[in-house]
Amino acid sequence: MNRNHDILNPTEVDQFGLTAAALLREGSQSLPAGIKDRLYAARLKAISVKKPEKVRIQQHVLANITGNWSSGSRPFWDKVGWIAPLIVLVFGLIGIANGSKTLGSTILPNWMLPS
Amino acid sequence: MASPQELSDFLSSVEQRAFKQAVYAVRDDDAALDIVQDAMIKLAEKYGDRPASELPLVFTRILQNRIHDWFRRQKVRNTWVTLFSNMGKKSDENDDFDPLESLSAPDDSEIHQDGAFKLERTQLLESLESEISKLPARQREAFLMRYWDELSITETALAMSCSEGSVKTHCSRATQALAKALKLKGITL
Repeated sequence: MNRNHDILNPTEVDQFGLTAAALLREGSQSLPAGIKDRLYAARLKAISVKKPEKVRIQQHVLANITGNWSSGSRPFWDKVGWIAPLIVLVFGLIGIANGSKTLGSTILPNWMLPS
Repeated sequence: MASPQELSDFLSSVEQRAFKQAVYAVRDDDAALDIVQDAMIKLAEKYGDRPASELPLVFTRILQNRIHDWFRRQKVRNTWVTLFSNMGKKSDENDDFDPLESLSAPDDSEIHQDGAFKLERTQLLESLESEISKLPARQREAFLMRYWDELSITETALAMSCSEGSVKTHCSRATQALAKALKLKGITL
């Protein structure tokens, strides 16, 4: 763009834009009543189909052995609870591996056993 | 998360502006109303659970996308109409339609204003709106988002899916073009 043809400098550009916007804003307030009514109806329709808010389900409240009501929150077990099955699985696999080696040595000939 | 009241307040604050912006683009009141209604419903249906602070930018994007969709549909429709209509019939009948016909004179609440001043303002507004309608689509979008919607350059760039440099260029060109066109009519803002 040839800036020599510009009639506004950068400062005036913003000033012009803001002045024009103020004028447009003023003009938009005087829409015909029919248009305003239809916009109002459109707004009501939009609000009627609003996406429902997400319902937050509260944590169950249970009574413990002593009869005290608690929120069921157990921070320690919440943190380590997920790792327990993993530990059991690892030890189980090790046990199976050892067991199969022992079983193999008694039943299978040596040449079939893994070196 | 925006409550129904916040959503209602937001839509109430932007509906007239959105309508005018749609009219500048499509030059048809009924089409503009449909576009604004679709945009409002889309916002409420899909983004109604967003925080109220996010609604302006999201709504602006939806509105612009709806306007683009309208032009795409018009293009497809015109293609088929051209194929099946009489060859001799002129297709530019709607070009004579003045989108500013719907612009009403100031209502009774403004009776205290000076008549000459009102007339001058109305004519000025008509000239300005007419020139805005003539701007290229991207320049018009950038100009309206920046100055009327008061979005930042970053937000405008997000809404228009372009770089911040492009926004600055579009805005500058739009403003220069408007200033030149108004100057030719003897108007200086």
